[in-house]
Amino acid sequence: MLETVDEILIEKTLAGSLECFDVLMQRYQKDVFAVARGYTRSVDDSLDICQNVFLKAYRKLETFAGRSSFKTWLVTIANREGLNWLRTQSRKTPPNAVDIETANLPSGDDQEAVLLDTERREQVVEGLQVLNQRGRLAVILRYFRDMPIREIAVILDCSEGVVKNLLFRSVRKLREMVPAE
Amino acid sequence: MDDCTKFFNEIADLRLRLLDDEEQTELFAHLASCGECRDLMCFHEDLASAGGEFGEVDDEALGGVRRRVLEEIRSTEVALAEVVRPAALWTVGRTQLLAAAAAAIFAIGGFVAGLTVAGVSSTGRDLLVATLEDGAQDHRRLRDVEDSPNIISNVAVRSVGDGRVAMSFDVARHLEIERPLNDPLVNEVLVHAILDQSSMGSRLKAVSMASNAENGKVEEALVFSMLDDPDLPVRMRALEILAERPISHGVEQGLMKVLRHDESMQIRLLAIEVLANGGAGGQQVLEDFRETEEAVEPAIAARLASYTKS
Repeated sequence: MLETVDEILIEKTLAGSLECFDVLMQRYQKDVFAVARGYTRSVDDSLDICQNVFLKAYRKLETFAGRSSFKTWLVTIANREGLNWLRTQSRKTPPNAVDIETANLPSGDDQEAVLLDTERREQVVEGLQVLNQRGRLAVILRYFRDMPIREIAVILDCSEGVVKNLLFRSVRKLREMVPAE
Repeated sequence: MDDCTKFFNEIADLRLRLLDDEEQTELFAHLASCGECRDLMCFHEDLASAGGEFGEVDDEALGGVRRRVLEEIRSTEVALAEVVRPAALWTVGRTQLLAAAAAAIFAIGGFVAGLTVAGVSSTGRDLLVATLEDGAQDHRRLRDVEDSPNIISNVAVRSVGDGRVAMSFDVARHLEIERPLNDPLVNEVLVHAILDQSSMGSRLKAVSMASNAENGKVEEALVFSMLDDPDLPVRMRALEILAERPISHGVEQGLMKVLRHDESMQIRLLAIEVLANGGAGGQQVLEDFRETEEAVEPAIAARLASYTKS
């Protein structure tokens, strides 16, 4: 079941197999989570977005026409869901601080190096929040999920050249926000 | 696109081992002459490292998400099966269904509703599809479609390539037929008529006619009607019809629900009467109710006292 191609799993899901939908969710949960994480500053909120994404995908599965890969379709839904989440949050409270885990750090001389690394990672993640929505999504998909440029172009509904420019500008901006080592 | 943009994007490809030898040589030559791109190449490491942190979530948390999604889907599907499906019967093709229900009541007609193609035998399906195709060819105007005996609802369409379209829908067809009162099809139609929310009058007639039907599903429909029909006269009539039969366990449970929850005092008092006359079992149920129920209205308490032993 775990090696079955997406198309067959989708077909079986449409025929009523929730087990197959579970396999699909398992296959792409980290991609969806990464996109969701780009919109929130807490893991719990990201997980909530993931839940909405999968529910929406299940309910709309009949409309998936196979013009893109299932993963691309799912990430597009996640992107839209993330935007919706941002809109509702902007009407509520300001976001909390980034909740990157800093517990269980090693002791002694290594600690300083690890703290520096953690700090830089925090700066990168913090910097992501400053990028515009398209730039942030492109960076997440390209560098955190290794998605090919052509799939990102489908998700962002633009040409591959535009994606390349967007990535270049976004990473350069991020670079300016994170001081050199 | 300038050189830096081109080579910058190749840095990511290099990390993913997507560059061939020639591209790698070109990239390294550019890096040798461009400080900014060298710096950005180093920054890729920070990005990759942040990516690991960023997407870090334990499998248990994601497993929890999947479990909640599946639970939600299951509960929605159960709710749909219980609520939306019967509802579809009275929201679609109301005129035809009403006419059909009325016809059933006077034993001169019947109807078949909500037949999904997936749910019938291949021969039946072929006949049904052929009938629909004939109708589709004959219909020239919107009015033809509206007046068609085939009622199509719950439609989903999607393109499947090669200029083809996949369609999913329910189809109902208006029929006028005659059957003996004890015919299984009459029972089937009566159940639909009892559940048909479009007309209280039709339901009342269908419930009355069900007094002669010796059938489990008809009894279940009557219990459903006694408990959930929006109109009191229909609930009362269903209770009266059920009281004419030997009281089964399901009916007994239904009567207790009426006694506990119905908003009408009249039907609750009637439920007590039916239970009290339903033999020792009914008496015992009422006895238990009297002992365990903490607060009952005076009228109910008085009626219970008159029917129970202690």
